[in-house]
Amino acid sequence: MSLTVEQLTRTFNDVTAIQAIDLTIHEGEIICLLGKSGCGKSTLLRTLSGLDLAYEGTVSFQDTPLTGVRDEIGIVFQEPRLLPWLNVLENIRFGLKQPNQATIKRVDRFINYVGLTGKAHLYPKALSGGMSQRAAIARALVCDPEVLLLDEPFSALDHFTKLELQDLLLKIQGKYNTTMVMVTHDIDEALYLADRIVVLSSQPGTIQDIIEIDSPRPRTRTSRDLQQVKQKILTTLHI
Amino acid sequence: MTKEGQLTINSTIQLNKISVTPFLKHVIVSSIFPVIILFVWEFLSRIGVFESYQLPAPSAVLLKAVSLYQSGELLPHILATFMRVLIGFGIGTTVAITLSILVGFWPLLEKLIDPTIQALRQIPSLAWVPLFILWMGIGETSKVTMIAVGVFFPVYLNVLSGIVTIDRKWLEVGKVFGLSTCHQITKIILPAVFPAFFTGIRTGLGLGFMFVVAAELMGASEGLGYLLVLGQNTLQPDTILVSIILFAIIGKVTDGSLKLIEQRLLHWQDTEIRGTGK
Repeated sequence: MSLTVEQLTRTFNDVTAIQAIDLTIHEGEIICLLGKSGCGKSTLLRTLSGLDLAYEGTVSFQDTPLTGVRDEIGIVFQEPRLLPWLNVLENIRFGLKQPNQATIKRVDRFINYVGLTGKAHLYPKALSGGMSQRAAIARALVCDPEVLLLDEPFSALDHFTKLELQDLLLKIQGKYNTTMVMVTHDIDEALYLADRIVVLSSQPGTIQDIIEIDSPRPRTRTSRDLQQVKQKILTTLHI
Repeated sequence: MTKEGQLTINSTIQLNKISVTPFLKHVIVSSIFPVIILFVWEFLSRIGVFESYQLPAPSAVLLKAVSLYQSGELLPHILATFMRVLIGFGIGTTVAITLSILVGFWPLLEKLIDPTIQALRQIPSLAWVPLFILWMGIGETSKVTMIAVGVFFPVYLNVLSGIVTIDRKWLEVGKVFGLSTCHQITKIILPAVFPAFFTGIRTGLGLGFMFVVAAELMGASEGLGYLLVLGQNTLQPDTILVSIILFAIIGKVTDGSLKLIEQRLLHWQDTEIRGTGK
């Protein structure tokens, strides 16, 4: 097992954002955290990343408590957060501790892998939203993370780019067996990607339901089975 | 030889195509208005609308400049003024950057000294002049101090605001990749503050020239400001105009150089540069 959360509670100025969350995330699994806005999905993800340590309960990675950010846990934010003064290549290299020949080759490989061939020397101002997010994904992957946390990574992108990048994630997961935890409010996205969908209720955020999706990949986005699950989730969320 | 020759020709042509033509166009368009003014001024002076002891013709001003240059007086004046601005600017900028970094990263210091600096800022810097002269006399020290004080405030305020308004999201990127504090500063904070820094030093340099004039008007034996006083006392408006025009040229050239460096270093900024169509 890679990431475990026990009785996790996080409050901000007496407002409880998430309460008593128990969750075990297995290696190579894709988990989608789904819920209405303000339900604490992103809060949960930030505690998993080690960026937010002011929580109650325990978060452990490979059986040791998480005490801060770790190289094995990569994160992709909602906005690409590329540094505007670095070009694509330098941005993707940014996280490497000691760039050597092997890692530089890795960077080149990932630039091609995420579909940014020929764009290495462009600056962020010249990139579209989709290209920026591809670069952000590559920047996280170059550090060879075992877990990739994604905080609504595609919510600002147009529909077609979104579908392309969802397939990119599946390709990555297939190749590197990366564990992925993704926050989303898009049910179709969760149905297409996830092994398990964690449905969170709002204020305070608690786990309302965990839905396993065992239909094999690649999935058909419009399949009848998935639509039935979608209906079930909508009912759970009282919509 | 032939190959080299061809290469040169090729690159000149390319240079023409890319940059020189639009640049020339820009120069020509922006000169139309001042050239018209000069011609009208010259014409009106020649037919006697302006009295030459009040407003001499442009040609007379030019002749005055040439004669000042040939007598060897002009260059020392220019150099004296330029050095004062340079030294005052250097001191003011250094102190401003040091203080703004300390205040920006040390909240206690911000609470302690920033309010004082904000209050001192409200004093028009020229109001310090009498005190500085009383303390340091009419020598170089008081002049350079005045310029340094003038330069200090815009640089301090801009760099500080650059530091305190750094996007938390970028700092978080540094945190995610486990950057040390040292690398946080060199890889994220410094580049992020650069735009504000340039705004600060360009404003500061402009103020530096304003204060050098004030300082030299108070009393100086050389410098372009001295030429202004000299022209006034000897009823030579042409000397005054030579000095004024030289101030304009020096100011434009120094600011232009800073702007060029800024554009080179901050090419990554997603801002439209006015007039270049980029």
